[in-house]
Amino acid sequence: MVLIGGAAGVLSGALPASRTTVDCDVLHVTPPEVFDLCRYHADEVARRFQIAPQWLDASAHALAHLMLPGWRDRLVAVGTFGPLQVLAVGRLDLIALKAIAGRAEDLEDLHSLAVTNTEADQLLQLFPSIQAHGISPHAYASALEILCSMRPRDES
Amino acid sequence: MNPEQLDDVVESWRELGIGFVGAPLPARGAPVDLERLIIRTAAGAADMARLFGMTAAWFHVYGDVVAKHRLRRLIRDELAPEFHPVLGLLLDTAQQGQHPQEFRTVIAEMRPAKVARPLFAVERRSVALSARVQRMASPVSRRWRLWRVDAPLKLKALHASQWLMERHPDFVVRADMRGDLRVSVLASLRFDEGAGQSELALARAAGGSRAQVRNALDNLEMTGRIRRLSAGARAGAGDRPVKPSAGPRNHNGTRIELLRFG
Repeated sequence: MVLIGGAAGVLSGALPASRTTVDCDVLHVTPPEVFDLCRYHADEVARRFQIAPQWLDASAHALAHLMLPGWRDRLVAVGTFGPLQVLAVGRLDLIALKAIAGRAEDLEDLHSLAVTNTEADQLLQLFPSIQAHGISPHAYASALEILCSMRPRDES
Repeated sequence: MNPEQLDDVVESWRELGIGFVGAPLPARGAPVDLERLIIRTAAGAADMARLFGMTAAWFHVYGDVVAKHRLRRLIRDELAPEFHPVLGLLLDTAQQGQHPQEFRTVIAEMRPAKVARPLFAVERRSVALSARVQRMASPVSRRWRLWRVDAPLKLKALHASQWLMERHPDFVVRADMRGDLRVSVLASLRFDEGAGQSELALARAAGGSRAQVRNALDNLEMTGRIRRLSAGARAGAGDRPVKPSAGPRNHNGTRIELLRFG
């Protein structure tokens, strides 16, 4: 199971836990039927930990086309729970997805992540490859703008 | 708002069903002064975009439980004017798409920011991000002159109403009364020091006129939620319950006691 979003950031140690929400966005599950099983047990987890029952959410799989080339090689292990291996997207991909999402909370997360010049340059090189995968020109331009603004030398 | 104060606000919202990450909550809900929490939220929301977004979602779902009269009073007395447009935008965002609009009467008393700027501190810090949010700002945020990009309300991180009502029985009363003046009276009696000393003090705290508050008290007394005590004539003589058979009464010297709120 591959996680993205805030949960991926927190569980991989890239983001601080405080001030994020407990929902868990799932990008990818192999085999897909495993998600049904996890979803079945999610209600029990919600009761035990007193969190909202909708906490486990696979709607993020629709973002798969926005992943940068090589994202699978950058996955970070979160843990193995019985037969279930949980992975989180790597820091570079987390930054990219936050830049694409572009909401104010994503900008705050990017600020927490303290994106380096090297990372920003790397992402700016990789970004053109997702243009062919269906990202809207508007979202693409916005993400580039955010990435450029995150480069420490460009900070105002 | 400093980070510790912001953490306190976040913790209170966890208690009311917003799924922020944190330590396990105690088995029983702790009392929350909702209207004062809203005031504190308005003062901190610009420093934490998730707080703004999640509370907007909460108000959209649970706006009924907010005591509107008391909230208006607290805005006047306890919220610095610089945060009025932040709260205005927050409540306006929450009520988008609602008919009738839940917070119309509260919002009517607040004014947009004097100088247009990004709502969130993270965008104010960067010239490029300021320009971006100015370009992409939603119509409602432009109206409040605090630029914010519109985003869908994140309802999946909210607890269901059953969870909230089980932890906070007073919220059942709030919801049943749909946040009307009776809720403001009950909340003031519980949370505002000295509110029960007289009908006048209660009217001030709850944000209603004396006649409105007297009317609300009649109803709350009938349902056994409060009782009115006539102040003793001599110091230390104690209070006596007001006789219900007395007909039209002069309540000038009446003290009000909260019996149950939930």
